[in-house]
Amino acid sequence: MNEKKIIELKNVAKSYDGEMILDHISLDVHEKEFVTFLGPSGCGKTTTLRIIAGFVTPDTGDVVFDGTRINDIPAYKRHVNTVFQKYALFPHLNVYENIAFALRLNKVSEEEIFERVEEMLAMVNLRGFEKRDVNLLSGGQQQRVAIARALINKPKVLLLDEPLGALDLKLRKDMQNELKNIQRKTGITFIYVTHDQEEALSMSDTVVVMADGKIQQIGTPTDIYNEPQNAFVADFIGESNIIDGIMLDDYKVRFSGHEFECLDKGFDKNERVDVVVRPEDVDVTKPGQGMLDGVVTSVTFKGVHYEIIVNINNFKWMIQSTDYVEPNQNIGIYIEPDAIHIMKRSEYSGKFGDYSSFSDELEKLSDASEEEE
Amino acid sequence: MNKKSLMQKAAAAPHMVWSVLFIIAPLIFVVYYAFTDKEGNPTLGNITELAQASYLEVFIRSVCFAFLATVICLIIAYPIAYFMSKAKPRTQKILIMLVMLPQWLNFLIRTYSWMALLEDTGIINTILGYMNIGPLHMINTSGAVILGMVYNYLPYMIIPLHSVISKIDPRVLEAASDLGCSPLRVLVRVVIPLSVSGIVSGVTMVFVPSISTFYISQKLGGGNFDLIGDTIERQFQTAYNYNLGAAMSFVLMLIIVISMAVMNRYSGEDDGGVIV
Amino acid sequence: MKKKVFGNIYTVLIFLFLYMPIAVLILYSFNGLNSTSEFEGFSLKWYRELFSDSATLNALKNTLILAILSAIISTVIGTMASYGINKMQNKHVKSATMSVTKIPMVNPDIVVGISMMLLFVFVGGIIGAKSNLGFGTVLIAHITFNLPYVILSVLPKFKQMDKSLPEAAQDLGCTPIQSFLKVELPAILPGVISGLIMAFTLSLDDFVISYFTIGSGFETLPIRIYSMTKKRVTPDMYALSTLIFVSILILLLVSNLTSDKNREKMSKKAKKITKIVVSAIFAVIVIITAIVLIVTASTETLTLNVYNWGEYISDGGEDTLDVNKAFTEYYEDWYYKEYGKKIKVQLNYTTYASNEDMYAKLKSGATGYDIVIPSDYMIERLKKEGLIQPLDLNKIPNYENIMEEFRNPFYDNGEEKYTVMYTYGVIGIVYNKDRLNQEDLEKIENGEAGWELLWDEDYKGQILQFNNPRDAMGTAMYSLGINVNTATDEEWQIAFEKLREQKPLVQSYVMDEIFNKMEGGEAALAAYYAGDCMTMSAANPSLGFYYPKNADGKISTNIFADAMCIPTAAENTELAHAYINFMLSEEPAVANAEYLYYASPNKLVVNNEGYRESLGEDYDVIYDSDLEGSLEYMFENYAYRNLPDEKLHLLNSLWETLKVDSAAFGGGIYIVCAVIAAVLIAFAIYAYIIKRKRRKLYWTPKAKEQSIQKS
Repeated sequence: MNEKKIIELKNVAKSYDGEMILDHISLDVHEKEFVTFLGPSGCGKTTTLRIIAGFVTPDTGDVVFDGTRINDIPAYKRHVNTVFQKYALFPHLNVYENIAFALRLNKVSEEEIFERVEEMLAMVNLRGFEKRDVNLLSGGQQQRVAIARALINKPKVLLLDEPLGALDLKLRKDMQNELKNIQRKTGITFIYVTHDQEEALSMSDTVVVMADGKIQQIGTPTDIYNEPQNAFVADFIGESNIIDGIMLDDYKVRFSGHEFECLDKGFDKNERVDVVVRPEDVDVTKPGQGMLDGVVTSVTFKGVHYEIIVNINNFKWMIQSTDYVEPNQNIGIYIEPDAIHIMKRSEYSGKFGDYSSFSDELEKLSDASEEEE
Repeated sequence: MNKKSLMQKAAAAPHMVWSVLFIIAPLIFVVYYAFTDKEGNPTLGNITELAQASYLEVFIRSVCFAFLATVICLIIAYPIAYFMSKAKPRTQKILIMLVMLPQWLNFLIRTYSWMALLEDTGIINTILGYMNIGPLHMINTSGAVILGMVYNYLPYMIIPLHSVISKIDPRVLEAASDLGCSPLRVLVRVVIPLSVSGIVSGVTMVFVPSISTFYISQKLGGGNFDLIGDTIERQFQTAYNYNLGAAMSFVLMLIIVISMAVMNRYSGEDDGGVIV
Repeated sequence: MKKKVFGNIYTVLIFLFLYMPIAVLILYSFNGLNSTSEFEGFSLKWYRELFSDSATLNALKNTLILAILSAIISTVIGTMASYGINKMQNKHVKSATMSVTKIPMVNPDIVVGISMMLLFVFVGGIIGAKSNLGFGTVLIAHITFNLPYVILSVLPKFKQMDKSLPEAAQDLGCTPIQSFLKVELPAILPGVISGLIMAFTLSLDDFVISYFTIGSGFETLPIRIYSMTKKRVTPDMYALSTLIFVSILILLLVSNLTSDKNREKMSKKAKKITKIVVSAIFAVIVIITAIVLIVTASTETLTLNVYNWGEYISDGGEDTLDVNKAFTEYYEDWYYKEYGKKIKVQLNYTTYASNEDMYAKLKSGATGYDIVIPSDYMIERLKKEGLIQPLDLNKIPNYENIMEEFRNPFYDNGEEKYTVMYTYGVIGIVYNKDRLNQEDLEKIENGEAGWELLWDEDYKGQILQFNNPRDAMGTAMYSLGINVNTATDEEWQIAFEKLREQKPLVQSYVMDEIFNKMEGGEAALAAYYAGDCMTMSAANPSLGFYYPKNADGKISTNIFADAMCIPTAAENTELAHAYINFMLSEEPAVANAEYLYYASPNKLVVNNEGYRESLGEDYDVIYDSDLEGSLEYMFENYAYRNLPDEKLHLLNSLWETLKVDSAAFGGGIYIVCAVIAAVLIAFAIYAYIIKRKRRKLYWTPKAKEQSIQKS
């Protein structure tokens, strides 16, 4: 990234009622970057976003925008605009007036307003919707209005707070592409908050994984996926088998009662580590021909592949394979050295039990319970 | 199925019969009495009698008083409804309770209590007397009548305003300030336009009882100037002139229907917002 | 932070405003004195008084019965209606029903009240009902205005309810009725309960609609408060209000606290509490209804409805005899001795402020009254219109106590007797010594003062005038020397002009309100009935009174007699006769005379030593007040007579003109109003223009196309 820094968070902390929401995080966002804050609900990602927008004042730390500290500048004076969760359109204004809202505040001539609104409408494919009542639009259309409204002032940074959360799957995919296109076209920095790892990986330049008010890892989507820094990231991003292991030596790890070759080094001798193996990296072999043997406990057809759960030494592995195996069948598994990823143990070690996959549905349930509170 | 739908129809039947007998029929009688004389002969005499200058002034005065009371209520109630909606939910609940609590005491006795406060030898003047001010003449003035209206109907303005304002999505307000609105502009450009429905119902709930009151004007106004309610009440309770009273009621209903229609007309369609 | 402080201060100020009158009310409920202008010592006296004030407690009971009955009935009808309306297929029928339903909500109370009154009076007239207005009519009225509130709180619950819910229940084996009871009812119950509570409170608080539809013999608390506020509210009413206020405050606090606690933990308990509360409410309702039924069924109740002037009977206040209570006890006793049967006498005592009010009430068909006590000229009119009936003097043996000279008054000098005189008196002028100037005080002392003081510019805004046409016109006519009974149209017009001239000087047009205003020192001068003037000066030593004289130095004022009559439509003439007879016996007659300061035609009173003693000097003023000539002469020349119809009509229309005339009214308020309206209109126009301008570019497709092409 050669672009200059547009937003810097320096040691920012925030707590509510004695509960630490943000635990001294530091972060740089560069110009024209598409940054995503990814994490489960309550991880502090939305709070971070609201601190940047100016709706929340941090307890300690600095928020720097374009080289100046903006902690004390109110939201309405910041050159940052937000696309809100559930859009927050002005229900008393029609589509045109919603988009024109920011311009109206600045005594822009009617002609210019008209031109710029039309331009925005064209960008979000809503031409001809000017007179519509925003309350009668579909979710996707409301989303587009919200984006157009936030972009009309040509902000340096656009903040998006789970903007696609309320859309159905198909629409969400379309909107992802559209957002990415808009970002490329306008060259505006996007800071995007989501709990959907797939969304994060497919859209972002940089992903910031957060949990418990801390940044767990910052990196490109491939880094995050392939080189998770701890069990949390491994668990949260994609599906994984996280196993306790012992680093015997450089390039040598022992887990599940077997010694494996790997590509990692630099650990202490006999250090306890977390071993991550992605399910698609495990090959199924005949019993005895692989490195480990186990009994298949269930097989589920997933379209592209079968999802096979194998019990190996009382640890349930998840394996994705295009070959069908029978339940209760004995099989062997084979793992390439480059499929084994070793991580330092962390507070998250051992938390995820057997094979784990972060569940969106659970996430939504916890969201709902949060709202109730 | 047939039996079921019959049952459904039967369920609403008592109410419908009741409505015809005790809502529609009485209104027909108002019209009937308004357009007949004492012997029951059709006449326009009652209405033309109301066209006299003195009656016209009663109407204008009532509309003025009610209008002022409504405007004052709105000006007082809006900030308080706004502040209330900003409080914690628990505090809000208690505040609403406190706003409604006085309404549980009969309004006659509360208004009467105001007399004791406002009289020349009343409590306020006594207190002012200790401070060597006054006495201020307050009772039996038009100001006292408007005060009485504001006092009695203020809660009916606060409650609908509060319920609308507190329902405004806080994210919409954040969106406005995000787009560059200062707090004042958020209020003017978003909060007020979004509370129009509350304003309309509050205005209705204050204007209608204010324009038709007779007790407040009798007690706090000393009976020196009639409001519509006073004139109507006198026709029924003292002067025994039902026809004139009915004609006045008929005109009163017309005034209310017209003012409501005008208000709904100008608050109904709104997409331009308010300008500042 | 600053904003928050401002907000808090503002909120506190508004709440001060809202609670100030209530604080006053609570404060005065602990007042040792019966006054709103003075506070002396902390006392619980009025709380004790409250529990012996049977009329107030009776009104409270009536109010509760009315509220409970109307709430239950309107809830049942309203819930059924909501069910039906929700199921309605035809949109037009549905919306029409809803609009009609909402009428009592949007219509002003007064219109709802008078419209129902007109219906009842008209229908009552057609079917020849003896009594058009009564408990039934007020109940109907309350149900009518409760209905929309019930429907609007129940209907949404039906709408929210999952449509397949009853189907699911029936699928699982419920009969339609079971499914309603077990599935639908619990789903709508919160709406039903809130509708019930709302109906109950609305009915509890209603004054205006009751005021127009209520009949004789049934007084609700608001109506009682209304007639009280006409003269003065006794502090026991403050005590009652304080009790109501405190109990509601506690109730609300409790409900607030219980509902606010942690819901998940409390939900079971809360449900239990709600259940208990609901069943308690129902239990109370059932018990009250049962008690009412039992009481009415077990002992026979005789009802007597007495309609009298305000403050016109010895009512048991301040160690006097409660005449009405004494009568009920006496009659119950007597009945038991005579027939060996226990009965209960229910005496409903309501008051009016002027003859005209009473006449309008009788005319409206609220004719359940058994006793009315109007004045002479009104008696002539009632007699002429057949509204009162001849008395059976055999049933009034105490009639012999009436002195000979009062047995044949001009208004009742025929063979048959319609009336028994209650009191007689003269109209005098009551004045406040502190507010009159020395010159005028001397004039009064020298007996030279006449009516002119009531027209004296010096006392602008301090003069009170009668709030009834006959007496007000009378003041003008006596002062002008016009004969009050034979005046020509021109003379009436002249008297009217005189009153109109006086209007800017008048502080207020009053009847019973005069007690409070004069005793409180609010006004300087007023013409009023002499007995009441003396009552006032007894209460406030700064007050004095005199009989106005004309230019010749002769007393020139009205003399009047009030007499007990039985209306034609009375329901219990037997009891009414007994009441009249009782009033003529020594103890109550003396008690009344002592309390009222009016002259009594009863020889037992006049000759009563204790009475003479207690009045002292006042006795001479009342009975031998330097009047011109004999009583007969006075009645002959100075009493009001019933006027011929065309004169009555003239009088009423002149009075109406005077009342709506607004000479005394400053116009500043119109200017303020006009300015605000102008600003609003200007703003609306401005907003409209801006909106048009903004829309011009994108609203019409044509403009849009053009601009797209341009760009």
